[in-house]
Amino acid sequence: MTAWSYIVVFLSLALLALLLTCEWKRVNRARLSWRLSATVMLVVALAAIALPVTYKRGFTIGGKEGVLLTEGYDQDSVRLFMQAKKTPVWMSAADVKEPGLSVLHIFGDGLTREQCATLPSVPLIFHPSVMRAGVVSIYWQQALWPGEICRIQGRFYDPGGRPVKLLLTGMHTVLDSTEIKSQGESRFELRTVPVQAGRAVYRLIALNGADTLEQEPIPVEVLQGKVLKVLILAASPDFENRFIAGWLADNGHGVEVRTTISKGKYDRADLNMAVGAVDHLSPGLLDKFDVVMADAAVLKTDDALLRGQVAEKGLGLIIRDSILRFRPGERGLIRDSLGRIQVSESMYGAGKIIFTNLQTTYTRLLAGDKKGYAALWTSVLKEAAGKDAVAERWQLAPDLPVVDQPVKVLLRYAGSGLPQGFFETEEESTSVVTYLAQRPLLSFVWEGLYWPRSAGWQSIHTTQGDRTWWYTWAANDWRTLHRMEKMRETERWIAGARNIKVEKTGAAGEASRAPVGKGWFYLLVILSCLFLWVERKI
Amino acid sequence: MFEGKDILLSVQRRWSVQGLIFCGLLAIAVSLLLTMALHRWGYGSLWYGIALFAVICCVALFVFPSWRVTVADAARILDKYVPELEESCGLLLKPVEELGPLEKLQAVRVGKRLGQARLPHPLRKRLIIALCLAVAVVFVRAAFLYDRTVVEGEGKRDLSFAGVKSVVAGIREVDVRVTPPAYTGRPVRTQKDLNLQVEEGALVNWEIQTNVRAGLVAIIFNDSSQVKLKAVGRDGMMWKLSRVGSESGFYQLKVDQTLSELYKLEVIKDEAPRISIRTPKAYTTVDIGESRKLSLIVKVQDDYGVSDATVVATVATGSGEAVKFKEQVLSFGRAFTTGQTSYDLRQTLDLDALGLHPGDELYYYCRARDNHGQESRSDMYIISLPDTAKLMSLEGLTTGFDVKPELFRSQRQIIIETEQLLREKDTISAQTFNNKSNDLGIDQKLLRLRYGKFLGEEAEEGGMDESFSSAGAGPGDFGNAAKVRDAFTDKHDNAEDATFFEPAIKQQLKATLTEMWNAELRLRTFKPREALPYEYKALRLLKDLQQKSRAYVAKTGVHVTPLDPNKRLTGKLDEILAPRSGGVYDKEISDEDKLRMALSVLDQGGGAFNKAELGVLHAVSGVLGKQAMAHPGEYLAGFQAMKRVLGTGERRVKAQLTDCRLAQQAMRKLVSEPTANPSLQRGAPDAGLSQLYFNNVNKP
Repeated sequence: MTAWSYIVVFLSLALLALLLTCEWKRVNRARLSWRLSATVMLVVALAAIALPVTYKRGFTIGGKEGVLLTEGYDQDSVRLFMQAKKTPVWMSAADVKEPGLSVLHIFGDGLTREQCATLPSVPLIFHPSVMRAGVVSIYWQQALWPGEICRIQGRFYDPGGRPVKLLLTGMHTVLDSTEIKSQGESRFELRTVPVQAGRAVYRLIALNGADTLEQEPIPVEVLQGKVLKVLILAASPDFENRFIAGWLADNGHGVEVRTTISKGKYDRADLNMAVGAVDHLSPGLLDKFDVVMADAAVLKTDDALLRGQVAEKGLGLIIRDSILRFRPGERGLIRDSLGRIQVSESMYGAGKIIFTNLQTTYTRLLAGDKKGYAALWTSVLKEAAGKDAVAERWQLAPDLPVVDQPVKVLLRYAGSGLPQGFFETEEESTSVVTYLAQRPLLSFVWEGLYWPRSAGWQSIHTTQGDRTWWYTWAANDWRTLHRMEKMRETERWIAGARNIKVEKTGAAGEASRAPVGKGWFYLLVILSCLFLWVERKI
Repeated sequence: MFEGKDILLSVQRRWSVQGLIFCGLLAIAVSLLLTMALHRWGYGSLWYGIALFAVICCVALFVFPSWRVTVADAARILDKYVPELEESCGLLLKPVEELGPLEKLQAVRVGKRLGQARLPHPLRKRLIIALCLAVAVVFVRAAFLYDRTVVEGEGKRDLSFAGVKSVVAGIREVDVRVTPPAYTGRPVRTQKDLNLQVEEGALVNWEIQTNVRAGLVAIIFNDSSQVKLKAVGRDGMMWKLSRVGSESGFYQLKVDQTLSELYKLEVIKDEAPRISIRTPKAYTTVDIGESRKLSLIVKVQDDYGVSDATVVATVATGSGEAVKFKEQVLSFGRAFTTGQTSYDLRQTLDLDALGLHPGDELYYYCRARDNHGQESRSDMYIISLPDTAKLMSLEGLTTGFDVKPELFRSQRQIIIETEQLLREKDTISAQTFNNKSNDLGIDQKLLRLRYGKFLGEEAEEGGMDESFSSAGAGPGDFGNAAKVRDAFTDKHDNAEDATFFEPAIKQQLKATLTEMWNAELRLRTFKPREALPYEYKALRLLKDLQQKSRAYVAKTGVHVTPLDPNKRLTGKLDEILAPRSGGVYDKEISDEDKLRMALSVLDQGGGAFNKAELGVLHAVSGVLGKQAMAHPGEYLAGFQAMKRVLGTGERRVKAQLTDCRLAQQAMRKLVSEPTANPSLQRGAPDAGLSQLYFNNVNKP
């Protein structure tokens, strides 16, 4: 009872007393009992309008229940629930429009967040279907650089029984496989190095004995690598720099090697690129390079310049020293077999500085371990190299876009004017234009919505920009995963549904309090007032 | 005419027919048997069979002349076998006019009896035998035929791949006869399937029958060389070609202008024989006292047959520069039958017979030849006979190893005394012999314990002087627990006592101890002769140890001129130009890159390919074709699929998904895993936001 309630009750009682005395004292004592009761009714109704009147109600006993069937519901369990009950049944969330509904039972896989939002605000009880075996979550990197490993990681739900074999196939070849033996949810990882140059669709196949449980497309795109421009500053001629320069040049990267051979004398090698003199470093010269690899002995004179360039322009600096001192704020990148750090990296402004004491990696090349050598220096240079300046970058909102489901498009755009998104599929070259809205606070971010009409690879680009490829899955791909998502979303919605004044959702039969509609009380006031007015006229 | 004469005539006719049937059955049986053999050798035609049958028939008719039986012969035979006829059948044959009255009477009587008598069947036995023979041969033949059809059927299933089995239109029938070379010992086979798997050097005959008259029938090998088939007969419907299968590849039939699918022609090369020597081991040392006869067990295998195998043994005698070699070839002393593919061969290497003396070494290897003339040889194996005289020499003992020389002498002494004991065996009593042997065993034990010390092993066995007297000798030691414990405990292998050796030396020392153990066991059980090899081995190992502990450091004498620090880096460099090198590594698109691109192009699945994509596919098809030529079994299906894809691409039609997948599968095998290559990361425009943040973050 709040203060408001006390005031209302007090005032009502006072009013009632006043009105009743007036009626009682009236000369014409005809229909006294009627008048008195009408007065009482009037005051009570007025009080009820002012006070929140609720009543207790149960879910199962009495009340009006409804059943919403969503995809994947189990017929038998619905029939069992409905036994001799006359409850209205709906097949779609949009159809649920029953006044005075007390509780809604949802059967099946549940609803998406958007669909949940369309439901009337009544208590919901979710009866999820039994989960079948399948992939319930998945992640892999869709766009890779050449030579990068594609790791497909996820969770597999297996309700039990025989072990399930997961295969990764592509190009009509089994690329990797794993077996899931444990019951319930378990992690898995499959990996392969994509061999194609461009796009390809691999397949994830779940086998239970001879039965195929699932077969899902795994699209993977191998991007064309962007060449680096590397400046190597060597304090003295050595094999290490010689081999790194050779390896980089062989792979098409631009390399400029400046080797000190005497006081003020340099041996220069321009591989795949031509810049002016490099005897004296200047910001203008360093702008032409992505990565500078320098011996610690060379750095003595140009240290400040290089560091400034790293901080301001995002240049990658690799410092080769015979001794590696670990400084705070650094991260160990490569360790030897004893766990000692051989390569460490630290952020420095916009760029990164990498320290290394690797001096004899060229022996790996001489021993024929080309792959290991390439992997080692790729991991180092990848960290050092900054990001290229692109004019646009596309991002798409659900990770697994589905045909005929909206896809949120996000564009980070550096150009001027209004960008438009041109969508094309692999088969048709006619493009669909999407208009984008600018975000008010971040002027370079543009948003839009797109409804893909067909499954498969799709491309998106602006008027001048390069194509970005993305993939749309068919409606029946990743079934288990989408089911799991829907179930979790529905459960989350029910848990977070605070706008419904119910004590607790869940088990049927629990009582709740519902407000009584105010209209009834207004009606009572009008009726009693009318009676009192008309009675005087008679 | 008498009534018996017609009986006589019918008997004669029956016998004659039976004789003919006998000859016929015999001829059928024999000729069938022979045709089967001929079929195996490649002459499976029906005409050979008929000719053979005719010849054998003639021979049989000549050898078994029973079919030529005359009426007179029949009469004589009847006379012989049927006594009731009273040897008077001959009368029936004579004309009535020539017979006397008595003869007539007799003839009538005989005629009557002939009608009633049980006539003999002299050819029945032969007929039954011939029939059985013929039936048996027919059964064998039928079984053989059944077997062959089953085998061919299975073979076909193996050979036909990817379900491709259509021949070009216009061809009614194709027969391919493969005649494997003689060394394989395999029969000639005919098949309808055009996918061939033939032995190297096999003769392949194609016989192609067309539906209609064809102007040209040719086979295109490896997509390049076209060979025309020869027409047999004038109607131009039967075509033939023979060719020796020498290299793997694929081929295609061409009838007038229509081309068939690609078929593989896989040539199976003959392998060289495989030799594995089971015993003895690669390095064997025969110590003194051990048997000088070693058994050599060799397994020789080949895919078609081994024709010869020998052991080549070389004895090396002498040392230093005076090493002499003597080579001997030993045979395994057994015949090699044709067609047997695996042999387990045994030979005894008698070292004495080979002329091996102590200090010599025997090098040997096994050589085998298969029936195609290919030869292979095994690894070189070595048997060495150590020179005991060298072991006994004292040379080199004065240097190196930190072990007391007397210990070595002891081991040598034990050997000398053992040999002495063995020489004296006949002159001394058994008791003395045993005692001496036991004494030597004790010596050996002491020696072993001495060496055991180096490894930190227990020096003494079971201390005998355990007593309180030693535990607490002085009054000051009373209650000294450490001392008491010291006296009564057996201090086992104490690592601290061990000399620090390298693990390898330790191991060898342990091996030496094991040999000493063995020697001691034999000596103590009075078997000095058996102990001798172990003693020698122990000595040899000790000798090795002694050699190992030596190190050699070469003397070096380089004197470097000392540097003058004042002069360093003071030279004039003005006229020295800075060297400059450079170059552009233009990366040409390799075949592998093209394959990678094509893999992606083929993965699209839907839609026709555009011009650029077709260009990539065309380039790749050549690469795939080369591989298909070299390994048709692996790549032909993919190459064929690729051709179909290109065909649909040119017609601007959607390619079959299965074709794309097949081609991809073949190409995937040709592409290696790409190596890592650094690249700039993909950035995202942020209108200088992060730079702004960086510039302001450290501002106070």
